[in-house]
Amino acid sequence: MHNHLKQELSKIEIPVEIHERSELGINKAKSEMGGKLNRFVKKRLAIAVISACLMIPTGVFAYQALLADNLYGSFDNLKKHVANVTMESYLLFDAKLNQAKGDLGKEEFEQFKDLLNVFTSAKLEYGDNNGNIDYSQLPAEPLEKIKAAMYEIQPYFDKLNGLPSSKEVLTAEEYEQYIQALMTYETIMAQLGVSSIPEVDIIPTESQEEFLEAQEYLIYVNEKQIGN
Amino acid sequence: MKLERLVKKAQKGNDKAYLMLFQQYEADIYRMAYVYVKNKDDALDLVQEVAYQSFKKISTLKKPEYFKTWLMKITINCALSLINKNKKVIPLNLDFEVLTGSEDEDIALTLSLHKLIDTLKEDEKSVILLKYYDDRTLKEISEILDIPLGTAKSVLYRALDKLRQNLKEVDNYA
Repeated sequence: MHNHLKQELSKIEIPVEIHERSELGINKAKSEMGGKLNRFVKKRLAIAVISACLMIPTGVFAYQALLADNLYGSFDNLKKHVANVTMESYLLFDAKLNQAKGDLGKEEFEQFKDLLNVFTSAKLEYGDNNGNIDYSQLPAEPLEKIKAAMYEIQPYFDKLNGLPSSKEVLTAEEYEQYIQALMTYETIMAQLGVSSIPEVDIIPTESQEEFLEAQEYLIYVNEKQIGN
Repeated sequence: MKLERLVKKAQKGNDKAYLMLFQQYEADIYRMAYVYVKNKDDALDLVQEVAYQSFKKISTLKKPEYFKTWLMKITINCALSLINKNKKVIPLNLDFEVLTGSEDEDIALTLSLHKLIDTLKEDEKSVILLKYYDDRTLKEISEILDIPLGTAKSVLYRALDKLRQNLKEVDNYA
């Protein structure tokens, strides 16, 4: 009976258009829920990424310009280095920093400044117009150095964003993966030359999987941070 | 890629991951649907409907390992609701495209598909399909169909009886 029925049913021919119909159904569902789920996920993701990596390219420079005039002189000067720094992100970061001064102890703040310095130089040296670095093209030594700084600085960024420290929320292993995901994200953005989170469609197929995995991880961390 | 990963991705709204996942089962869904609705067009409509409904509800699936079971349940429900909708207009036409070119085959085998499709009532089809096509235990079947275990058993035996009777009839002719 067992195999018999399977055999019987296998006589039912599968029409070629079946794939198309599956896709139609899924697309219809996607377009209906699209807004809901997507916007939600996207918003979260934007928060995670802005807090994590976008803030480094845009914010760091702005911050340096403000706090360390001796480094760059002024915002205008800074803009020559990083074309896409906007006045808004500049001011936003300024506000964040004022907040940081209050939130961070003097010693912490000094450490934060030092770490930012590592980034600033790295971004200038290796970053593209948007300040994104393609880490896959980086020589081993600076890569290690930046990664180490990233390790240390991420909790500060979390603090500035009013989130619990990712380093504390995650296990050591997860934290490592989180930093890796941030770097993957930035690498893909650098390779595409974009300044904001790209749509999956414009990413070359071979990087899509990697990108989605990184994205998934960033969402996971963000959810953990906001206590979901 | 592993099923669980695909389910998780789909639950986050990744339609490409879901398409990959769904396509592994679309043939099964189509064949099950066909047994209920008896024609290609409706069966295809059902595949599309199941794709639509399942992706919309994928976030409610708690355990990825039950994905297939869950999909089958949706398939059965969709099929039954389509049948109810069309109740008055189901043609009793026995012209099966599935049987074209099957003249040489064992008549008993051929007829049992006929029989399955035509003689069994919907609930009997559900139980038979889940039991023998999807390899479910009676307990699982009762859970999927939301019916008591005893009912699942009696429906199964009734359906098997009908199918056996048919085979006997064929034997008598032989």
